[in-house]
Amino acid sequence: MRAVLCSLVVLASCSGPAASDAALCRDVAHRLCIQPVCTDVMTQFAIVGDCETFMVAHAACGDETFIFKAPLDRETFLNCRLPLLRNGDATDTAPDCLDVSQTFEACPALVQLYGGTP
Amino acid sequence: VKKAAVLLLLAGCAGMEDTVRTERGPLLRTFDRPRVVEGGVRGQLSAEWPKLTLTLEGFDTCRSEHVEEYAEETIHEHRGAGAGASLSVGVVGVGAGALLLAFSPLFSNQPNTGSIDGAGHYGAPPRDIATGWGIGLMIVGVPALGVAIVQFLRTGEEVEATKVEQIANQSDEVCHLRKVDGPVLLSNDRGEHEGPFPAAGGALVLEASKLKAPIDAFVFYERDVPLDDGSVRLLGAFNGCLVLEQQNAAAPEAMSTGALMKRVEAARECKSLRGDAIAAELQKLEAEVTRRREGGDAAAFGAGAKKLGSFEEAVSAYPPRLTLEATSADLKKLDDVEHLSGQNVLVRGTVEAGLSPNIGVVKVANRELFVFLPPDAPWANEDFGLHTQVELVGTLSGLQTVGEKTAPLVKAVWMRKLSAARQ
Repeated sequence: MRAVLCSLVVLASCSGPAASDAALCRDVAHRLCIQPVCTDVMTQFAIVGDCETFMVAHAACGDETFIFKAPLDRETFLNCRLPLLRNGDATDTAPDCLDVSQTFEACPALVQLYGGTP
Repeated sequence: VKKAAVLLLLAGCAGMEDTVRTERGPLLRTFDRPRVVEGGVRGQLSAEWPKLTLTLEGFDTCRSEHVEEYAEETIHEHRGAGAGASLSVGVVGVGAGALLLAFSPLFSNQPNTGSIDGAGHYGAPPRDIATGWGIGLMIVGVPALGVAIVQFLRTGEEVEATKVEQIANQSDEVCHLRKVDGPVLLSNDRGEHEGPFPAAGGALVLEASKLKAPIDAFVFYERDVPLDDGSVRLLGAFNGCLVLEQQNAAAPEAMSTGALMKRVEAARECKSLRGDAIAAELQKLEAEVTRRREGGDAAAFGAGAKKLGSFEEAVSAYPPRLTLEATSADLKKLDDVEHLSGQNVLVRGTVEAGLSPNIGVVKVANRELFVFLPPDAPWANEDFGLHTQVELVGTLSGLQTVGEKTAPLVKAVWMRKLSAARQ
């Protein structure tokens, strides 16, 4: 029993608690807007002002009560987000522009969430 | 029970190297140890024609061994394989793990918001990371430390002190001599066996008339009976007399040369046993042999003359007692040649004449020698022309008269040209 508990502790030490939907939403907006912004972001979004502020405002995820709704539920959003993590989990890691293009092509609902045109 | 199981598990992981070495200690003492080992049976012959008596003597071999006794230590060494490495890993692992676990409350328990993984989770809090590493290090370190402790506990050596003996030398002596009786077989040179003849009171008396052939060896319980040198000579003499007795005694003149030579040989051997009893016959036989040699019968020289393969072998087989050459002091001894009869000589001189195909004259300084050449000798085909320088080895045979000339006769065993010798 003790050995099982020890194993769980070791495995648990690899990750922390689940982030909220609002945090996930802001994380993607932050990654997409890290300078230099990819061409696809510039062409598919009619950004006015600050990129990140524009996207968070359009998605309305500045509020912690934000939750994902169908058809873009939390699971779908996480799957769409995966290509953006290929360069790393850290929130300040800029995604590759090819990965951004792949995300936009695979997930038009995500583009629409942030006020873009798929 | 659980502790025993853990110890057993650790002992199984703790591989040990076992070595055994032996160290010779000081010399403790020396002593002589008498032993009796297997001996045998030996024989001694005595003969009084026509009886031959074999005395059988059993013996043991008394052996005296000079023994040196040493102290010796057999050392069994047990060493843990990799105990040092296990100890290092164990100490570091357990130490670091314990420190991390002990101080983990000092680390923040807040998740790492600077990172969100693909499943949507924040990065682990530093306290959880410290606890995970601490447990991991303890998992590695504790067994390693356990293995190291078990290995160090089992490391050591066992010394077993013993005494060893070393035989420095030994000497054997014949001992416990006793008369032995039993059946004796006679083996002969045809490979046949006669008998068994019973030995009684340690002796076997044989009558010449009851023997079929000359005795080659005596066999006692499937082993040849060893004889001393005197007995071997006596057996040869007895066998010679037996041959003379068993052969048809035809007149020497009527015998073939081969039969004559065999009979002469047997008579010579027999003479030492029967002496005067066969002296007259031996004289007749030798006179006939001499007559045939002088008549050019090569077979009368015996088998030895034909078997020689070189001049050097002839010198070795007939070692010269005199050297007859121009500067030799031995030349003067030819004045009394009758006393030199039968002696081997080495002659170096010049061919002066050829009196017959087998007799020539060789001149040494101012002395002339008749040289008899055996016709079948391997070197006799060589042409020894007049005035050829030659050297020969042979036997002096007294004075010989050929025509009007009288000179010492040398029966050549081997002759060659001197020029050939110098090449």
